[in-house]
Amino acid sequence: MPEQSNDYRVVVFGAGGVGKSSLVLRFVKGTFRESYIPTIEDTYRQVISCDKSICTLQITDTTGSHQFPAMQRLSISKGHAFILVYSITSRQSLEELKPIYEQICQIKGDVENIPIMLVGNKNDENQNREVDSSEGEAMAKKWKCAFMETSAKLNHNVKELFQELLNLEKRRTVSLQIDGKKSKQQKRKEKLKGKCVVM
Amino acid sequence: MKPLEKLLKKPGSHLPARPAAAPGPGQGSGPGPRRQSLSRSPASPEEPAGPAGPQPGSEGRWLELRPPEAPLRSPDEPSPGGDRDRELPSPEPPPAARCCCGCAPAAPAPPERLLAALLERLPAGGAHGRGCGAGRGPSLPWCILDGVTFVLAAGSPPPHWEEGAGLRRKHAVLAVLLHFLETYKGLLQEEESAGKVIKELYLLIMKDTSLYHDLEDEILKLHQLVETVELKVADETPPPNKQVKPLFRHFRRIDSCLQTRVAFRGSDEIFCRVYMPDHSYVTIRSRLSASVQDILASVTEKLQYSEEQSAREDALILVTMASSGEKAVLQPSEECVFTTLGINSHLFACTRDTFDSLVPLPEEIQVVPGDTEIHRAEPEEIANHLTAFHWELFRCIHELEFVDYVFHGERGRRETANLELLLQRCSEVQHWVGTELLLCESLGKRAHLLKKLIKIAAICKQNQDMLSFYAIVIGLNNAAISRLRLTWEKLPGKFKNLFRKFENLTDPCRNHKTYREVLAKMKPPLIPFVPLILKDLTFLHEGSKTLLDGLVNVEKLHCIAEKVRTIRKYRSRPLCLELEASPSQLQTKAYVRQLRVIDNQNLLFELSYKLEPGSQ
Ligand SMILES: Nc1nc2c(ncn2[C@@H]2O[C@H](COP(=O)(O)OP(=O)(O)O)[C@@H](O)[C@H]2O)c(=O)[nH]1
Ligand SMILES: [Mg+2]
Repeated sequence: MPEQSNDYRVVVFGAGGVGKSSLVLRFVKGTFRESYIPTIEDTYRQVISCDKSICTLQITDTTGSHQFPAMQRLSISKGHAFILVYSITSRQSLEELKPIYEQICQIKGDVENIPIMLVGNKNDENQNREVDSSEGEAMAKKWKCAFMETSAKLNHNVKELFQELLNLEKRRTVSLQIDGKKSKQQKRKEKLKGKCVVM
Repeated sequence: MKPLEKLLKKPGSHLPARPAAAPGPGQGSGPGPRRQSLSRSPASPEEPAGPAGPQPGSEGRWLELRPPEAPLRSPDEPSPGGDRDRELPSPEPPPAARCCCGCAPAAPAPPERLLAALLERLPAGGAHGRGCGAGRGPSLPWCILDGVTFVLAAGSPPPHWEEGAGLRRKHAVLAVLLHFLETYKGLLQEEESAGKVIKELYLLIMKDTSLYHDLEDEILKLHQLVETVELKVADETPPPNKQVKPLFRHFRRIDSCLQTRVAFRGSDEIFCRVYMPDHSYVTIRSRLSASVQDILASVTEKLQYSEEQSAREDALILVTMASSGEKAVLQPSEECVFTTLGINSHLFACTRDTFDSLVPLPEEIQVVPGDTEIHRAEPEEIANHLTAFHWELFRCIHELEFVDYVFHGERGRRETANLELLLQRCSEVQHWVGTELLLCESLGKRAHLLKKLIKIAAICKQNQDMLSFYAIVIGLNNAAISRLRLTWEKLPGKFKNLFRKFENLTDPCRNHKTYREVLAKMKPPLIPFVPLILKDLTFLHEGSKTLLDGLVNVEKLHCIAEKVRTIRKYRSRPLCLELEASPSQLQTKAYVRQLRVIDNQNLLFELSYKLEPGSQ
């Protein structure tokens, strides 16, 4: 029986079509597809290390629409960390994150201790960019969360996104590396490479 | 095996020779008995040894089907339709030729002659005009429903507009058609071929209207009916977009559970989780009637299996797994699987070589005893909400679902989703009773709850909700509950006696004589114990062939139709209970409508032994 309380739950939110599922599938399965299949709610499990022992990382990919508010509330209350995704090709998608962020604040209260990553996806589509990365950074600063730009398509910053998110967890040591022996140096190097800014 | 399941065993499964075990990997469930919506109790080897297991003496207690070879017209057999409609206008035929519906027995006949006879027997003129609108009026001869049953059973298309017929004949055909539409209603949306026949017929009739002014009334009615059925007759476009009423399996939703239930059709959508061996899951959105193949295609697409991968040996298979770990492979061609799953069963997609390593999801219910709503709410509130909900579920079942459930196999696969959901609920209530009791740690509290449950059963009975009543009594009779000697001893004598009476009422001896007598005295509206109706229908169906040498066994179809008519009678009046809409009432309502139960008999026994180790 998998120990429920031992699970580390990450929930991915964002408007429909910004690439939530693509990021998750790229991370979990290493695949990418061009076609768009709307998501209702999927959860993927992976073994990670947590406080020097093994635990399960649960990544919940959610629907972009607001069809199921009750489901959204439930995932927030059960989640330990959150990824808020917008597409750099759509300003609207960044706007749509606001109510979700507010709801997380409302349900979780003190969000400063909760790992949250704001993600601008599709940064391979620079020619269609509507949101400058500085705008994303500014928003993240306001929300007191971390920020990153990614491309699920080109597999850019995807693994880093998840690793950095786990690094933000201060209440326990969670890491994608099962042996948990990743050196500090290595991490820093990744951070630089990934242009990750932790606010 | 639990009593209810025995009661409900599908055609053929009462033959002792049939292996009862679920099919193993690779074998699939094939054309054999359909999976029950009821969760299964574990196979005997997994049952705890000792006195706690179901007593062998009670084996077969519920299974008193007459032997299948017993002829239907055997006069000395008690009529299975003991609760039949006593108000039937037809005179009682001589006992030797008695059919359970009380109609004059009809000789077997070939389908065409039968149809002609049916049309012959219809009254001329507009006598049926009013009857059709209501559909239940006595002006329509009883044989029409039989005719529909016959059409169903024989699998032939509905009656055709015949050449050379006079006005009377056309009246008759219209009457049949109207009645057919009235009976089928929304179901026709799901049936392309039937819809086509009706469409053809309708167009033919419309062409003739100018010739027969006398038929105006009927034609107008036909027009309306065809419209309500949403058969797009004028053009070839498919029916307009239906309102989506997704069924959330394993999603507990306060908002949707408080709404009045409406009937589900095969084209409705369902959201359902499909799990992977590591308990990852994807939620798929599919038609309720989707085939296993369709479901697997959605999962494969979601998980981005490459085509080459799925074409190879390690293509995905779909498996159902109960909370006890019992699992079965579903065949790719199987349809409408969602409503046949057990209460806490889940769908798994895996490759053949991972089948053996599949483990059930962790038990959803916290075994930590916490006070649930049942301890707070008044027994009347809970009973009334049970009745109200079960009435909704009962009302959602189309009459033909009962027929299709038993005739399954003889006709093509039809949707019986609403009936299956009710059966699922029935089993849920049984397990709920046990779960709630076994989550009470203190003896005093347990005895108090036992008393409350008996009270709830009593009020359900008063409400004429025999479904909830039966389910609670069966639930209290579960071996994991009945072995709690200390708890039962603490029950006041008055309640002990009351429960003894209830056991007596649900005693299946002499073909459920006591229950049938009580039911016969009740006036509609009432909720019958539906599994027993299915047992009767199964008996009727298995007792004789539908077609013999090309002749239709009319008597059999009469009997089936009569049984279905009793259901119509039960629902002929609305059931209204006075339920407040106060916040606490809404809380009770939500609780009653989404019970959390343990359906794993092993776990129930485990809890039972922990509470009273030395009992019995
Ligand atoms: N160019 C580009 N397209 C992407 C990227 N990520 C996703 N997409 C495309 O965007 C569409 C929506 O992706 P999806 O992951 O289903 O979005 P979701 O609704 O947020 O889950 C799909 O057609 C993807 O192929 C990316 O990083 N770059
Ligand atoms: Mg998605």
